[in-house]
Amino acid sequence: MNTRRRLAATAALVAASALTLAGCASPGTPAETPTDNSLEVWLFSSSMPAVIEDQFQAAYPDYDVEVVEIPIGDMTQRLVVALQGGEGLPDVVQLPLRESGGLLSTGQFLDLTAELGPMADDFPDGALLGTGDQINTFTMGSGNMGLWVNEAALAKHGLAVPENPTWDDIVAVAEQLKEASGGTQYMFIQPPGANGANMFNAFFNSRGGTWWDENGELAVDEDLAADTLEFLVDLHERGLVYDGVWTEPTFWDSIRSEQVVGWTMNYGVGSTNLQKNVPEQSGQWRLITWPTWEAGDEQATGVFGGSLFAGLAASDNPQGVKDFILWWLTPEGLQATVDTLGLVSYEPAAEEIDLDFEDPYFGGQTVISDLSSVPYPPFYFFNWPETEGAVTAAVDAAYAGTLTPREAIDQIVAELGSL
Amino acid sequence: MTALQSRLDVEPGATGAGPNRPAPAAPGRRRRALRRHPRSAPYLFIAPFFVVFLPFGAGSVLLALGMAFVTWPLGQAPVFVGGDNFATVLTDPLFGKAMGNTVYMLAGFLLALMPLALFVAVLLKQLRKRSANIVQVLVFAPITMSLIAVALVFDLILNERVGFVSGVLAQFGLDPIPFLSDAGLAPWSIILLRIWRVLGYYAVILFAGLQSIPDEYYEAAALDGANAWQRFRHITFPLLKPVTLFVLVAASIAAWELFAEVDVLTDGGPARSTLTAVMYIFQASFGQFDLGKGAAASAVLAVAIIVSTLLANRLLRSDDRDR
Repeated sequence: MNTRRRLAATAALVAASALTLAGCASPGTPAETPTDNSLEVWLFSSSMPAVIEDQFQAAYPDYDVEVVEIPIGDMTQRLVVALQGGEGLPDVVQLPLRESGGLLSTGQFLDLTAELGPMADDFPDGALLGTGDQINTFTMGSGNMGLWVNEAALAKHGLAVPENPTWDDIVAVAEQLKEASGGTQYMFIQPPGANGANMFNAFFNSRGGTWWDENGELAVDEDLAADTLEFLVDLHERGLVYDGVWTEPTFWDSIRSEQVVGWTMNYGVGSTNLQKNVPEQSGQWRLITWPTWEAGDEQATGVFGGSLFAGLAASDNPQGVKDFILWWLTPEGLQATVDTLGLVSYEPAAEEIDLDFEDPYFGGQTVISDLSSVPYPPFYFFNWPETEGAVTAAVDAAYAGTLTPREAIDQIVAELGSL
Repeated sequence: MTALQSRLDVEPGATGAGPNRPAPAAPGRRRRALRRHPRSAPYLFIAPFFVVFLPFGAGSVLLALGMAFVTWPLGQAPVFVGGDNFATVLTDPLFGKAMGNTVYMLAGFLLALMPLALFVAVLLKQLRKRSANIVQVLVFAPITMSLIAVALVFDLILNERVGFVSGVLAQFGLDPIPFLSDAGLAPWSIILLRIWRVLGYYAVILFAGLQSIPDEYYEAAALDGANAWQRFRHITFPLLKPVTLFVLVAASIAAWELFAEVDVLTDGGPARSTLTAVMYIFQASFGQFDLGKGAAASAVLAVAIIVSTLLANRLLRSDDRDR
């Protein structure tokens, strides 16, 4: 190879290496430093931007708020990338409640212990969220589960859910409905995959169950879990469940055709979607607050979802972050929560805003206050991706009959115990 | 001398130079410059690709490889841990399950795809040109459709309760088939979706390869009394090997990286029967926030892809070298 060619090859190699290493480089300092009065809020609830831009801004006109809407499925990924890269972080982020255990334990979120600690008695156990001794935020749009029932559809068969029912009462109605409808109508749904696992978790939680304690230690009552799973598997074997998920358009066809006349779900997904997708069934549905497992038991429900706002510790505007998060506990913020997410976890809310408003879709029932009146026992979302994955796989296997409920729970415990 | 000839600096009547032909006589310094740097033009043409690929492609790969050797807590500096991430991944039963599922679906996909694609390509060759063009467009169309949209439609077709197939079976008094909710059937439902979507794409590539085989070979073979199978075995298959290798490698790489179809249809279930290697990587990186573990799993997957590609290359080319 002659000298000129050697020089050209060397130059090309140097250029190629420089370009490759440029791809590995970490980003430099941003061109523009955010001002102290700016607040960037990442959220996934599409009803919230208007509330923030109108009401929060009215309360804090000096803050320059930028709202960025991100689909719920992308939120965690975007935040993780921004946290690792150290660039492009928001000041406040809305997170699904299920992500709270893993993300808050990273220590990357603003400590609000001084502000929220004195208010601990105003929240049910488990509603204040944080890691160790630090409190970072509180649950919003609490996922208190209820049983939504199409009473009008039941009445066509001369059926009705009794007052203050137990689950045995509900199952009895479901059996009668199956017989009356020729097996074409259902009081229960069992979605596949992760939604099915979380549905099981809600039933489990309603009996006091949790996988992890407040310190992130494995704390499952295996007998309780197995018994709960057996209840659900039994429903499946008796043909009392509709295998589908509310995110499928066919589910809403089934609601419309009264194939599904009972649905265990929280307010945010249940009530909101019923009113949006089947407005013509207004007045037909009623909320049954969570049935008890035994007659005379104190009522408790289970948790299915919820969300939170958390401030980033790296925010350039920590005071703005605190003002934003605490604003949601003001009367205006509480009302905004009810208007956008449904339930509030802050117990004095009933004294500050009207939670007893009658919902015409549910025949004038005070759905918000009824659901809020039945809290769920503490449920901690530590190691949640692994937990959800283990529960999903085992519950799927139990419904398919390849594992007994006890074997399924043993499998889950074995997997979680190895973490 | 015409204007074009003078611009090319070529003498009248000269046919022009190629890389393997002697340069024609041409006057001036330009000719000498071309002789000294006859190969610079190709590099200039491919340079833009490398300007983009090197930082965003190769650079990202190097970065990912580096991440495999660190633990990187969210928002903190990475800490070197040597091969710990690789040890974690290689001893994780879940990774073994994911890789096993991926290999299973890869094998099933290739075993079904290759003969089907070749069959469609041979059928295309039998058609007249105008018909072949129309059919090519039709079979190629699925690859142009949004993968997510296709997956959602397949969900509606295969759904045990409300799917089209279940409806047809019910008309004949038959029980529905749990395509997506049975751990044994769900992987094949994914394979079915993938084959439907990419069959035409690879068939068109094989068809192009078939068209490059001179018809004279088939005519000569027919004159010698060779039947259809013999013509296929002794003419079509050997001459189609380079294209077949390309299709095999491209299809297998895509199958190793199976993610979107599974994410939409089954989310790795039921009972993790469709959990793939890329899903494991995604869950480790963005679910467990363990980027080091995810990067290590990515590296292991990359090695598996490279090894399988080399094996395929060796298998298909060994016959040629033995001759």
